[in-house]
Amino acid sequence: MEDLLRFKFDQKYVIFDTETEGLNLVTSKPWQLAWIEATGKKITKKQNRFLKWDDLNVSEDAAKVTGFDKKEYESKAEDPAVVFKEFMGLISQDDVIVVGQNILGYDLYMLGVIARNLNIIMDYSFINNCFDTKAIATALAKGNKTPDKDDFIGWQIKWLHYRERGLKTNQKFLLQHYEIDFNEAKLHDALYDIEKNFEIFQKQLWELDI
Amino acid sequence: MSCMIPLFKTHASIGRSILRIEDVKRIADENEFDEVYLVEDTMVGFPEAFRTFGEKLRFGYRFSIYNDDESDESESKMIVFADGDEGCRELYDLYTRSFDEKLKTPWHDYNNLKFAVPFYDSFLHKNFVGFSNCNPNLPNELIFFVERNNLPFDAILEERIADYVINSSHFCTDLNMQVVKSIYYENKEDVEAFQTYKCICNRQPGRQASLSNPRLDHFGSDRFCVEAWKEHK
Repeated sequence: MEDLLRFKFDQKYVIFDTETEGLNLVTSKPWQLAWIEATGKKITKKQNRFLKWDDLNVSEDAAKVTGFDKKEYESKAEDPAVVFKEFMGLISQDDVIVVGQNILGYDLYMLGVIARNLNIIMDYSFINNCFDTKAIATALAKGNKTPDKDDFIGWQIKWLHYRERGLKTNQKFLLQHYEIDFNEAKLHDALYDIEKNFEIFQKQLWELDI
Repeated sequence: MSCMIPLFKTHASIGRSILRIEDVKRIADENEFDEVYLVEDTMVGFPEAFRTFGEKLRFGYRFSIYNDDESDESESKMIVFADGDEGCRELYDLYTRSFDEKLKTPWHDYNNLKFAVPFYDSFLHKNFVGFSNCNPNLPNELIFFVERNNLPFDAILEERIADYVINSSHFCTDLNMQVVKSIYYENKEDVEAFQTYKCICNRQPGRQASLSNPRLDHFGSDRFCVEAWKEHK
């Protein structure tokens, strides 16, 4: 019982999200990478970083959905290589759990896009430490609360691909489901999203036998 | 596992490659290939491929294989290669049968075909990414293809295949792994042309696909190309 993750108050977490110029998993460059570091339930650090790409082309739809502000971007954007190195150094630590909403279906690919644009071969070896709140939400909604502990990543990947009409697992739904207060206007702001996502994750841990 | 074998697909497999036979011919000549591997989803391109490559051609047909219960859910992919003239005749026969019946153990009926399991869409891949229970019968001699396209799940899938091969060695006499690269376009920069072609060929209902949102799940690599093969051969 004490081994359950919800009782590990010294467990380190990195919760992250990307905002991107489009939804193309090969070519859409992320212009924002936000993450928070936490120990147990306590958030210890917040990072909201903007990645400078000379040829950034945020589509109209993406700008609307992600709240892209060109002025803010231009004033805050920095060398993607510096941000990426810092972030990868953090999530590649063996004792860190990496958390995010749909990271296995989207954000990992976006890290791949950053790597490709920096001419770096992406190292996905941290993938076994990933917790995807969307995959977990799907499993929980279908009554599966006991993941295969020896193959947690495989369990998540299966649930990530599970499709059922009417099954809701988006962040807004999950916030409502867990009765977490939120400001709808701020959803899709990367930093706000991950703070709320971490609250969702904490709730999920109480339902999940892991 | 020996060196990485390039497995070309041409636009004869509609919607799956932007390469033409003449493109593959030029690439094969430039790189002085002793053998040219084509893996197609149809035999339509075979006559032209044979005229172009002659004895150098190693033609593979990707077909569906099923569990004993023949359920649609158990469908996964396997590749069959022809060996010699008799193999080509047998391959055409298998090709015809694959439209008329759900194949379960086709290797029992032929002597000049070699079977392989593709990296993606195989029974192991389908069981890995979903709740499928693909459990087809397997021939005694079989090659499992492994690909390294720098996709997030490639390394995990490769591990699963290696485990399967090791754990199955007691009842299959000759299981092997071979690193290959599926090739659908020539250079990394052609990936957008390939995506455009896939968007055009896409028959999914719903919102129109575009380059900013091509609606291609897990299509997150530009490495299905000759340029990437050259980096790792």
